[in-house]
Amino acid sequence: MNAVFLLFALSHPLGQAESTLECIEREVSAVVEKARPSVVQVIGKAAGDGFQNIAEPAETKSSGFIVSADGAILTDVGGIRTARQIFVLFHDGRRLEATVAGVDFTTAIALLRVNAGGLKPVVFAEPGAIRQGAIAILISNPAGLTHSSSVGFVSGVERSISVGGVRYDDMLQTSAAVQSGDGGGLLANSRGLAVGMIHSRYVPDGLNPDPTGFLRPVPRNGFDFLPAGGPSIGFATPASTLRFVAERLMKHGRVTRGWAGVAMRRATQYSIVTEVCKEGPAWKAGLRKDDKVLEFDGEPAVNLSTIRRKVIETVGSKPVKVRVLRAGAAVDLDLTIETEPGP
Amino acid sequence: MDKACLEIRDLMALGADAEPNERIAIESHVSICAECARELGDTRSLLGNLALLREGDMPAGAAERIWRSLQSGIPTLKASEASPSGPGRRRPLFLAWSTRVAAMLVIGLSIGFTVRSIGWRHVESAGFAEDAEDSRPTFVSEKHRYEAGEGRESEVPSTGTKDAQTFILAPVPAIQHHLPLVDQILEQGVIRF
Repeated sequence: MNAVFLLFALSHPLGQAESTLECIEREVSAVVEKARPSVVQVIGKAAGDGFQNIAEPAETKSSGFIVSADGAILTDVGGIRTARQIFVLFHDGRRLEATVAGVDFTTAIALLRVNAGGLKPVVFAEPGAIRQGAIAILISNPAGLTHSSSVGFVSGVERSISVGGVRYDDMLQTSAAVQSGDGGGLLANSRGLAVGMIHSRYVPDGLNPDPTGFLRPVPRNGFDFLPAGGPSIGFATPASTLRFVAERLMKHGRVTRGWAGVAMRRATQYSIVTEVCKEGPAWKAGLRKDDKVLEFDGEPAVNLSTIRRKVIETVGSKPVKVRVLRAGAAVDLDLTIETEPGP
Repeated sequence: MDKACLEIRDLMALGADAEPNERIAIESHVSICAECARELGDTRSLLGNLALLREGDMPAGAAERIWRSLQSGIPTLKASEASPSGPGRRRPLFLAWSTRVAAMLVIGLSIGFTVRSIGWRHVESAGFAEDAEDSRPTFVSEKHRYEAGEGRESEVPSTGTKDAQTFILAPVPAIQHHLPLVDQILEQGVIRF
């Protein structure tokens, strides 16, 4: 104990104890310093030769982060969708041309490759380590301000959202200040581990972004104006999905998923089937809407995120047992997970 | 030419109407197929040249003359070739290269002429007609866009007209900072797999 006290006293020569705020500040700075070299700005240059749509910008800037030391970078597909040439700006000022190594439209994630070595990849947090209320540190490039940081919380997990009419499940919700240009940004936890990648934001009623992404005051009830730049809710793709997609893209250049063809809603002791895809694996196994699922592949059907992860990470066909409650009796069904059909 | 090439050629024919995922599919394919990359280069240069045509006035009767010469050049189609290949989309592959070029020329000229006319009316309705001193069709100028509080980030290249107005169709930012907007928060707790 004395040794600990001596060490504490030596680290504070004036004998002044560090306040909680100072401690938080130091920890956050340390995390930013640790994670910053892994974050990049992704610059997509449009065609500009007539093939470009007249309604598209000449240059799109977004964010991304390094996932392997030999030059693999994860980013959001939207930032490069119109790009003819892609450049990546590193924290040390290096600007390298990148190529698209693979794209997964289901998660809107793209894998870029740059010709460089010795890069610092992020380390993904374990799924169990991501919980509501955890500190979330965002490192990204809002409005082109490279390698900026912002602090918030993981304010929700397992969120389902629709972006451009496409459904995204099992998303993280964050209160970190998410701005235009943050798409693909790194959301790190208090240990500097990657918990998510910024995917989108929800702008509450009354604040409509203009085409340049700026928020403008919108009149409400005649003369009541809301201030521009109000808060928005950020959504991020969780680390488990990122790791899975990155591994598949790096290995195969595309992502194939396992598929059961079912949607469930969690109840207290079981999950309720809300949708079954006709002629899909669950349908063929005899699972029907409003069935109460007690167990899925030997595990209680309460943690749907874990079950979903297991299913989508299945390679090829895999038989699993599904126990459902029907008319007060448990019934076992044999379901074969299949490869998800292509778009 | 294999099946994948044929599909990509179909997507290329959509030009600027191609969806984002279709564009990425094109880019992915041409990175490994030299023949399709050449085709894409040709298409782009053609579209680029056509885009320039929008700056000029269309000579009277030009469209009719080109269309007449086109009609004489279009070969009689077999029934099997003329059938569309996909829902809602035409496959222009049955046209010879030269015919395609000519057809696009006509379309480009017509669209350019029509768009300019529409643009002129748009300026009048916005109350900026007094700046259009002569009878030249005019789009919303960069100056007016600033006054309207639009396009603050735009760096639209000047087309070198006498009153230094920039002719554009809509305020398009030169640089866009990417972050998609959520259009709907869905029912929570329901997970599909």
